[in-house]
Amino acid sequence: MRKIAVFVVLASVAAVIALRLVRADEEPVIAGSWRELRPPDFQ
Amino acid sequence: MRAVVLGDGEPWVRRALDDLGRSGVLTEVTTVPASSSVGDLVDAAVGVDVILAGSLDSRASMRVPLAAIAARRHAVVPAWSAADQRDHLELHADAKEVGITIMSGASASPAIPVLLARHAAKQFDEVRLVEVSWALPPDALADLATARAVVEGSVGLALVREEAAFSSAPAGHTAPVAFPEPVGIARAGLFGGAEVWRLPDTLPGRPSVRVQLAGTAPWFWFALRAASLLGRAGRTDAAAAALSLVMSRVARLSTHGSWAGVRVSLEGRVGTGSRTVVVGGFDNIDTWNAGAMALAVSSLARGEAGPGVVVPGSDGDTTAALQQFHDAGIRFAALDDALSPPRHANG
Repeated sequence: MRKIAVFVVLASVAAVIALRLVRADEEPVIAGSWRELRPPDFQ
Repeated sequence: MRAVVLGDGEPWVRRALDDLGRSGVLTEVTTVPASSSVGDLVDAAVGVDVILAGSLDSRASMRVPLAAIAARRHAVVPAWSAADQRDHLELHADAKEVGITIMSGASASPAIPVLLARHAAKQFDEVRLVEVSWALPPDALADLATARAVVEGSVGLALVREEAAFSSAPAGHTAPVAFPEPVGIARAGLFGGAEVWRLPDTLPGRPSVRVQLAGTAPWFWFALRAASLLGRAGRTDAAAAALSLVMSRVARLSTHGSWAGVRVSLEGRVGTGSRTVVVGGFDNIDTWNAGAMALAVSSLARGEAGPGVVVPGSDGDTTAALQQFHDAGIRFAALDDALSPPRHANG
């Protein structure tokens, strides 16, 4: 009985960690191409 | 200007001093040992114009401003740590009273984001939200002072500015953020950064400010969470030392290079429309530190900042400052997509 309880607890912890690792990205990333700022951009 | 430097063991400090010497801003530099007391510093400051802290060390970060006030000389202090920045702000009234400028934060953080945000804010009538994101490589975190700032900023609640009021939110909770290549996408979490203290006051509309932190090593957040737990148990110094030790080992094995990334995203109003502007860059963290220190000293030499505690880059013409960085080989970038015409114009 104790072994089963320990197994359930460990499995739950592993599941929580796994879910956190593979969870969908919550916020969108603003993607795009970066361009270098050169002197005319400084004005 | 003539300067006295408290310890100059850091390569980026020597680089900043060399650049300032070559450009004629600094004509004479005296170095005193890093272990010098406030009294020693006051004695050494006779006949000089400015006292510089030559490291990110927390002891130097308090001794230099105190000595500057006692000797009535300007001071330049790098300060990655939000706690150091807060301690310097406590001296604002004292610095004003004796008529000196304490340049606090003459390091990559907070000087670089402050300069970039001020420059980008020229496009806005009112800025409502600024998100500053840092991506740090293992070798930057191998530096004990930077590791201390990171641990302090990620233990428990992180300081944020919500509509001009100080508040706090749980640190961590990571989300992906796109940094300029080659840093690319990294998971960044809320972090108590030094930018929160002064950035809103330098922009139109006193925006809300959040600072996020990411690591370029894949398992950075596991190492930081472990260090944060140790820090939460009241062992901040031990946590910073452990993080620094781990990261110095990782830096040797890392194949990810040593590029750091910075990204500053501004949301606000232009006329009756909304706009988002994103600027940033990637570079070696020490290159940014050196550039920020050079900016602080040259800004003092130009007499741009008034008395009190000032973040470098928060006064003066951003065009001249960006040109100074450009001339030193430090380049920044803008996200083209976000620079396109207003996406949510309603007028």
